[in-house]
Amino acid sequence: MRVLLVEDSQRLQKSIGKALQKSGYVVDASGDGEGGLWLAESNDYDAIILDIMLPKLDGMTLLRRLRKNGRQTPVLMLTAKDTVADRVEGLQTGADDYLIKPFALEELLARVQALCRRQYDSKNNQVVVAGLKIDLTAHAATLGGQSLDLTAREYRLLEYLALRRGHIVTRGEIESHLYNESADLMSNAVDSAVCTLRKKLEIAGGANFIHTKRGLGYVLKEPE
Amino acid sequence: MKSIRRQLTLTMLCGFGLLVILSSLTIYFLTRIALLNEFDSVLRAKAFTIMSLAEQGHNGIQVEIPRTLFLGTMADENSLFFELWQTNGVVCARSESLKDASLPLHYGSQAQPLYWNFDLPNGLPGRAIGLKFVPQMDDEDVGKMTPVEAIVMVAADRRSLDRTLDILGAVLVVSGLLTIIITIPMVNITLRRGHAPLEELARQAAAINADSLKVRFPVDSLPDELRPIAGRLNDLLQRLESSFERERRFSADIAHELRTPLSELRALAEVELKWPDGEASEKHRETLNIALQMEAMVTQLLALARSEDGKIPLKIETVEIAPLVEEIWRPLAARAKEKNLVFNFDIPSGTIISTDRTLFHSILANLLSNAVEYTPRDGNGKIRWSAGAKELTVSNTVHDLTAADMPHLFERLWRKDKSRTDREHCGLGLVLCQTFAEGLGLGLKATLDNGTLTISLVPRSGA
Repeated sequence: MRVLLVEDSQRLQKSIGKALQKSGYVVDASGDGEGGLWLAESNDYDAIILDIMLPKLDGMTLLRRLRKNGRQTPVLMLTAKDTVADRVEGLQTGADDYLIKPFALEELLARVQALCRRQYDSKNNQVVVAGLKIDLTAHAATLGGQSLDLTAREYRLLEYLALRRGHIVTRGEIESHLYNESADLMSNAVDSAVCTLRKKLEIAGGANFIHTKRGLGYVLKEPE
Repeated sequence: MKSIRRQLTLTMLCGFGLLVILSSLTIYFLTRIALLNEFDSVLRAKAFTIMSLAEQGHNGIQVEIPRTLFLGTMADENSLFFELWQTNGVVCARSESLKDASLPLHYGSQAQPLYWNFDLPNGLPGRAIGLKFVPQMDDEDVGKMTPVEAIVMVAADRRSLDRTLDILGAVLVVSGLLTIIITIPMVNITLRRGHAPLEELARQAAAINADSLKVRFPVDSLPDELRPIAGRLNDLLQRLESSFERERRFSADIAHELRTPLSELRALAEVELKWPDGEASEKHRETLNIALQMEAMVTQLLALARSEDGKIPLKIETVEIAPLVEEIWRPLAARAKEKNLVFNFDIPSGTIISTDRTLFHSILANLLSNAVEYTPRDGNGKIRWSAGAKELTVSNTVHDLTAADMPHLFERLWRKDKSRTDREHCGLGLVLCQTFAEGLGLGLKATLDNGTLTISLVPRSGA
């Protein structure tokens, strides 16, 4: 899952960024509205955490422009403004959720996770494909009851493919959801990551869950 | 409770009642005088008839009273009485109606006869005329006889006069009462109509609360008397609206100011507890910075609240400005050098003012630190004392301040950068300076001219 964090407080950016990364998200951050809008329009994020009072371009305007340009990325407004009018304005502008500072970190993470899941029409915190179970809250996967030993990136790849199970996922999509702006990708980074994951799954259960669609991408489905 | 309508109703009714009573009394007495005059003229005519008929002869005064004397308005011969006396006490003639009684002897002159009321011998109320005169005598007797004086008194029944007056009195009382009774609802209705705009104004005023301060009273549709009131109320609403707006913004800003460092603190602690990474000293330093920032803000807000309450005690002493400015500048010089700023000091040495050193120091420190902080790189500034105007001015070049920002410069928590990314300044410095200056009997004035911001510390009258 890839999340954009637009927050002008460097300290908050650092803390929330770390919490998101530790929770398995790929995070891009911006300290001002203009940078935030540019990132939001150039990448395909699963969710955006947006402060309202921002230098250069305020959060409301950013959101308005984003929606006007047709971007439907779920947005969580994060702000110190707590009046009902502020919240209504935020939600009417196109925000999907609203969190008031100071907030509990757990709540922020839970809300971000709910927003990301909504992207894939999933209201469950578990995805099951045959014997493969992915726990979205615990960030862990099991195959036939046996837990899989995955690195953070492998888990993220598996989670992303599982959320879009049955659909072809292109290399570009995997890149934009699993790697942040600063990642220096080698041309076969996605292929080798899929290869490693597939091997781990095969070792654990012997079946092939990830199928290659030549020239198109990958699809995760029940082994044939 | 005092009610203008009740008071006006009462006053108008009392006034109107008094008017009705006075006019009724006037009508009554004028009519009474007219009727009495008429009655008296009839009496006088009868007395003059007797007078003209009386003749002095050798046997005294003789008179022959015709029956026509009893005709006229007092036709009844039993209700008309007369007596003709000679001044020596001899009765020359008297009406039969007197029977054994006699009229009381009262009289005036021929020119000014005497009239009086009394009870007639038949017990009825009557009115009489009495006058003294010299009866005529035959031409041949003139000069032969000594003229004697006679007194004629005529009295008549005055019941018809009294009845007329009683009826008039009753009519006046009844019509007066009716007029007053009819006037009560009329006054009420008129006052109610007259007060309708006032009540409408009161209704509109009652509907105003903190959320509807944008409402204004319609002045044009009001009567002339209420226009100034509505105008003043509108002015008051305008002032209230702007101060409420300022307070609202201030509260919202306070919330943001404190919520942001609080959430930083909370997120920092929660992340650290959940994913400790061993950089404890770095986290502690961050925590301390956040705490210091909040503390500075709270201290400034408290100082502001206290100085606005006038709780800061002043210790007035003589302060030499140049060394004080130098002392304040010293810690700022490094930052100014780092930004390549050129600052000029134009304060004649030996310039002394009488003030509270601590407050004056705070004001200058704030102004100078702002000047250094907000002057763009390679900019310049000037600190100048004008002996004539007794003004201390701090001016510096600015890059993003516009004329539209000037009215907000002295507002609490106002900052040009709405996002408040700048954590060093919380927008209270200039407000504090202004409040401190007011405490010292001074004022702060800000002007923007060609990209140069000048803040002047001036005597109160010039602020």
